[in-house]
Order: sequence, then C-alpha cells, then structure tokens
Amino acid sequence: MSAAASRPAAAEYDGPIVDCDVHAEPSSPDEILPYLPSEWSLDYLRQAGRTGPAKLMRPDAAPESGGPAGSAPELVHTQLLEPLGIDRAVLSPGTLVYAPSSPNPYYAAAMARAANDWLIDRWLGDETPFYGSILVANHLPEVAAAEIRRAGQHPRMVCVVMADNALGHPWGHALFHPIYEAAAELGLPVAIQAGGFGGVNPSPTGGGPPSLDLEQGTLAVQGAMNALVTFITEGVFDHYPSLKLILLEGGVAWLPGLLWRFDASFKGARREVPWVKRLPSEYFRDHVRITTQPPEIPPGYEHIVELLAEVGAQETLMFASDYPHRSEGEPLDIAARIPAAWLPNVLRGNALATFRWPERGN
Amino acid sequence: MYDGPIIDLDVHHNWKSQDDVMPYLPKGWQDYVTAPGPTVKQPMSVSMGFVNPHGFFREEGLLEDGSFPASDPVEVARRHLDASRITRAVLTHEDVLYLDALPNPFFAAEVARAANDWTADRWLPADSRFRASILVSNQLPDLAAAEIRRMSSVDRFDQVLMASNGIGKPFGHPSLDPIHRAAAEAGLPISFHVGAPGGIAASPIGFGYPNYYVEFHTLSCQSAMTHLVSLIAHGVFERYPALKVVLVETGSAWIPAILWRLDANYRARPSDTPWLKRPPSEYFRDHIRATTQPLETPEGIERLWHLLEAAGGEDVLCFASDYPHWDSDPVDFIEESLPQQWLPKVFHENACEVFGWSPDELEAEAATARGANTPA
Amino acid sequence: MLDDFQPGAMALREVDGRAVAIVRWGDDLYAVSNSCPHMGGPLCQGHLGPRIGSARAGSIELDPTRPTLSCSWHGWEFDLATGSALWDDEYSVRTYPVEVAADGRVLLDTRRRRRAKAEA
Repeated sequence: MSAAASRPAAAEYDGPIVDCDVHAEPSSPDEILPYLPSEWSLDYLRQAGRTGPAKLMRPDAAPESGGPAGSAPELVHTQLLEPLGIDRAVLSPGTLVYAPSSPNPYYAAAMARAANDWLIDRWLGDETPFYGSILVANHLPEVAAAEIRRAGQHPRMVCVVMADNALGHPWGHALFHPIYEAAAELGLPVAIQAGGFGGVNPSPTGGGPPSLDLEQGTLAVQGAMNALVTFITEGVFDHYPSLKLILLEGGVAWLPGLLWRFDASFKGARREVPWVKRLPSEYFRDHVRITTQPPEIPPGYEHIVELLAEVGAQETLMFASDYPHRSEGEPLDIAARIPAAWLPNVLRGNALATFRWPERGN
Repeated sequence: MYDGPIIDLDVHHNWKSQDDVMPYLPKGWQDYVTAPGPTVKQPMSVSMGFVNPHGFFREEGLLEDGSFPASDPVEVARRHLDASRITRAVLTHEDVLYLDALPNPFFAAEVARAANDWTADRWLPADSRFRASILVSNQLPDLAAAEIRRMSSVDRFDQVLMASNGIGKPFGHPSLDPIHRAAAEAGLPISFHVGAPGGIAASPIGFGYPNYYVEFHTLSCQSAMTHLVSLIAHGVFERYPALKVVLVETGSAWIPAILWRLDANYRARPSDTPWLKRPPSEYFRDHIRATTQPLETPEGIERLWHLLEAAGGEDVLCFASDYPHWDSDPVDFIEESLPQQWLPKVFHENACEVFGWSPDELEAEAATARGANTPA
Repeated sequence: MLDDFQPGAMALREVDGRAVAIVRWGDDLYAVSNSCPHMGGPLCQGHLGPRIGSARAGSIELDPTRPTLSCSWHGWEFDLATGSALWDDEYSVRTYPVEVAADGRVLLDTRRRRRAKAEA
C-alpha cells in the first residue's frame, strides 16, 4: 500500500516522516540497574514507581509478553513506524525522563547517565530507525554539561532533553548556561519537555501549583512559554547563536498570542534587556521549534492555522506522535489541519534541519 | 462613534501615600506601622523587586503637586471619566492591590479593611460614577470571607477583588472556598486582577520568579490561566452556580488554547473530576469573563477577532482601561480595534450581566452625561 | 538661535503647521515629529538619553554619541539621527534636517528627511 493510501490524513505528502517524540520504556524497573553504579541501586529501587505525571497509554502498546507500553521495539515498528511511514524516530527514555525530579543532585545525575547508556545500548542500534535524546539533571549544570559531552559522542544521540527544573529559575536563566553551551558546542538542540512537576521542581504554573491531573495536563503549556520567553530575554541565543530550542508537548495554539505580546512588551522594555538585539518573534523563527502534539487545532478552528502561519509555523512546527501516549484522534490528524504546502517541512524537513543527525556530523 | 454606556472595570485609584489609609486602621495596628521609628514604617505594600524600565505611569498622569496619578478623585473624574465618557468605573486600587504579598496575614487583613473604608469615605462620595471593590487578602481565606460579609451591604461595593497569591494555591483550590462562598452568598462577582511577584506571593509565572520586568509582563497571563483552570477543574461553579469571575488585565489570546486543552484532557479521563457535569469550556462561557486590556494586537487586528471567537468573542470581553497605567487601552483604541457589532456588549452589556446592573439604567445615566457634556 | 535650546533637552516647536520636537544633544541638533508612530504619543515629553546597548547578556553600555528618544507612553525607543526604532530599522519616526545658519539661527527643513549620519 502506498504511503499516501495508508495515511489518508497526510495524503498530499508521500515521503517518509520524522517523528520527534517517541517514548521508549524499560521493560522492567530492573532493566536500568546494570547501567547504574551499585551505590545508587537501593535509592533507585526505593523510588521505583515515581513515574512522573500520569498519562494515558495506548492499550495495545504493552507487549503481551509483559512490560509496559513503549518497551517493545517491534510494537513501535508495527504500531507506529510502518503505518505512518516513519523512517526516523527521536526517542526519550520514557518515564526515566522524570528521574531528575529527585532532589538528590548526585542520584539525579547518576540516573540520567544510566538512562542514556540504557537507551544507547537497548535501542540505538546502527540499522534501526531510532535516535536518542541525552537526558541530563540540571541540579549541577557543570555535571550536566560533562554528561552532554560524554553521551554526545554517540552519533545517534541527536538532542538534549530535560523535563524537570532543579534550579527553581526560568529555563533561560544564566545558571543553566553551561548546559546550553555544551549542547551548542556539540551541535545538539535542547528539548524541554512539558510536564515536569513535583519533587525538586518549583511550581510549573504561575499563581500556585496544580493539584489535579486535569489542571496539570492543561497548564503544561506554561513551561513551554517560559522556556521560549526566557531563552530570548536571557540572551541564550545571543551567547550560542547555533543553538535551537525544541518545545515538546507544550501545545501550539497559544503561540501567536504570546509572540504578539512578547514583541509589544519587548519594544517598551528593551532597555532592560539591551542584549536582545532583534524582535523576539525573529529569534523565535530562527531558534525555536515546536512539536505538534497536542496540536490544539480542533476541526473548525482553522483560523488558528492562519495565525500560526503568520508567526512562521511552516518553518517551526515539527511532527511528533508522543507514542505510546494516547490522545484523541490519530497522531497524523494534524496533517489534515495544516496546509498541504507545509507537510514536507512539518513532517520531515524541519526535523532534518534541527536535530544533529549522524550524517551531519558534529 | 460608539455613544452608548461605557463601563470601565479597571481604574486604579491610589493613595498619595500609605498615610492616607492609616486613620482607618485600629489603634493597635497604627502603632504597629509607626513603631519602627521616625524614618521607617511597616509597609502596606510590597515591591515587585523591579520596576518597569520606563515607569508605570504616563507623564501626563502626574498631578500638579507631583503626586501619583489617580490619587485625587476629582482629577480621576475629570481626566478619565469625563474625557473618556465612562458611565461607571470600578475602582481597583494601586499599590495596596498587592497586599496578598505581605507576609503578616493579620496585618494584610487589617490593611484590606482600612483600604475599603478609605475608599468608601474618600472616593465614593466624590463621584456617583465610581463603584468600589471589596479588596481582600487571601493569606487567610476566613478573614477575607469576613471582610466580604462586612462590606457586602455597603452601597456601591459591587465586587470582590484579589490580585497576588498569598496562599500559594491557585484560586480555584478548595482552600479558597470561604471566599467563593462569601462572594456567592453576597451575590457579588470576584475579579482576579493580574498578580505581581514580591513578598510571599506565589510567582506569577511557572518555573521560578521572573528576573526582568519584560519576562513578567510577557508571561503575566500565566496566573490567570492557572486560576481559570483551577476554578473550573475543582468544580467551583458547580458548587456556586451563580458565581461569576472576571480576569482583569491578563489578556485573552491565550484562552482558546487553554479551553481546547481543558476539554480534551477532560474527555480523556472524566472520572478524575466526577463533580463536573459539563465540558470545562461551558463553565468558562457561563461564568468567566476577561477584560479587554491589554489587547494583544497583531498587525492586522482582524486576526485577533478570529482567535477571540474561539473563546466566545463578543460575549467574553469586558472593557477596562487600566487607567492610569502606561499600557492602558483608551476607549477610542478599543473602538477601533474590535468589530463594531461587538461594542455594545464589550462596553457595557457583558459587565451588566456580571454585576446584575440594568442596561436601561446605564443607558439613562449615559444619556444624562451626554446631555451634561453637550455645549450649550 | 542655538542657545535657545538647552543641551540635553527637548523643545516643542510648531514649524509649517507641524508639531516638531527639537533636541539639542551637546552641540548637535535633531528634529523629529512630535507624534510617536505607534499611537501618537507626545515625543517631546519622552525620555532623552544616550543609546543603551550591550555587548553580552548582563552588561549595559551607554553610547553618548547616539542619542535616543523614548516615548513616554510605551517606552518605544528611537535613534535621533535616523529616526529608526532601536529594534527595527524599518520602523521609524519622521526626522527633519536641522542646521545652524551662519548667523546663528536654527533652521529646519520640513520638506526633506534628515540624512542619517554615516555610521562610525
């Protein structure tokens, strides 16, 4: 069956697709232990079960042989890659991505390193369609920078990922800069995943922290907005002109309103941050990429697409399935809601230009 | 030109100094304020930690004696209500608005009482167009509820007002229930004005405190976003079906994205919030309004209209000037920026519904004012 | 006359029916339309000062050779020589050439735009 026929939503594009956000899960809690120094194994086993925010999973993504959703590469192939014609998938280490929510900075760093070694070993084989994200714990930014330089040696690690904020400051703050410096040095974009909550994190929301899952899931946009704004105001892109920021799972529809407001606020307050040399919306186009899940573009709200077009969505959106998390509709529904002319970029081209693929070199 | 009634939901009336409010404090608390000595007093307001790099007020707002803009009721009436054809203006305080950031919760509650008494005494008699807010401190919700009950029978105190977050939980959290109940029982709407950082206030943005004014100003919608979601998610409008809420000075372009996410997340797992009987966005349409200021303005203002339609468009917005702040939106700016057919609702009908005011009364007041202003 | 204009200050004049803000910076004179292109704010009531720049995040440097006018309404900043907003060369306030004649009178030409000084 042709790609076009098997994925009607993307009928006007028949090339392969890059999926920027797939969650690879360990088959069992013990699977990570060989990668973790023995002095930490007791802490890990005590904390096993702290898996971050609850998310619904596709019911069929858990292998019958046992193991949680997202733990079987063959199911990722049959449920995601083949039906959607995906030839490259960027993986993050499933629920381990929230291990750095631990307040213990040494444990958090050890877990991040173990997650990276596990991902490389279990998933990132040469002949696979899988590529990885380097997880770091930001409690000690220099330690995180060293981990980026270490794990970044592997050619299939194509970005850095963080979900938890251990410094209690906006994501662009100077304290984080050693991490961004290391990423820029290695040509790796930095992905910030929405949903970091609890543990060492400050409130992920303005006005007090959420208490219900409904609040937490809905308000996860705020972390993405925070990263977008403060990477620019704190001069991250001026310090590291080659760096790109990827916002994972933060949504999309809030973007035009925020950029209008940001440009307007900046024009009046520029003298406070004179190191910001251009309009924020220009920095956004050049440096920030946003994944399409959740799209927040329900049927009938096509005018949001027009607004997104004005702020450069065609060059800045990147397709992501968020597999194996379950959401309404099909992962490729977004393709039916954006202009067909955008599909080559959103489904593939923007991702090819953003991540550090092996063929691009360091 | 629009010539109907205009209700302004955000006029920041101010003291000349906190000394203005001192006489309204009980003697014991007056002593608390002055006890530190001749050169320093207990502050009744808390600094944000930074100031707008070019100031908060437009030059022309300063009074001739150099005192704060909007610290003289006669001048506010002349320079703003008369000049902008305002039929009714809801007074929303200035420095003392952020008293929820004061660490001493009992002092904060006393300052709120004193500010309300001062407003009743010095502002309401000065012009019949002024309407007052019951300012409350949320550090101790029971004290706030008592203040709502105390002031609810005072004429022309028409809403409850809060801004910063001194309790550390979003405003829909059940720990704020005493405030919701008192407002609902009094038949008063609650206005949540954008909150500032400083003192013990919860950060108005996620993931730490803003470092710069520009970060705060750009992301200032976040606390309103959090409060909107928490009010709906915790079922406040199921408990108090008559309660209405206004989000003041928080913008509106972000609302459609949040409503979509709320509905999608709710549909995914409705059993998590079994007290909700309807999709979340319906509670928004029936119970929550947002002021026009600050109007997010892209080039090509019609694009904003399309976005706002996804949130309920002309039914959701209520005019507010934010006089006398630097980023206030004057009446003529709103007239030019919104579809003409929205103006009656935005300028007065939506607010009438929120406050239980009669549109006919408003029309009559506006007509009288037009007659008074017409040159002979 | 030049001396009618205070150094470091702005003066509002009407020239050919236009409201013009005349600025004396040192011994240089600049003239811009008094109306801010954003929403018409009165530029002569704004803030005059050296250009605020930065070599890197966290540092603020003042350049007194490039005076800047910021509008009192929303703080938008304009370079007095070129009229351009500091964050967008294409967005500008109208400037007018100003000269001091041999007899000391200050002359304004409202028909032409000021030519920007050559960048150093």
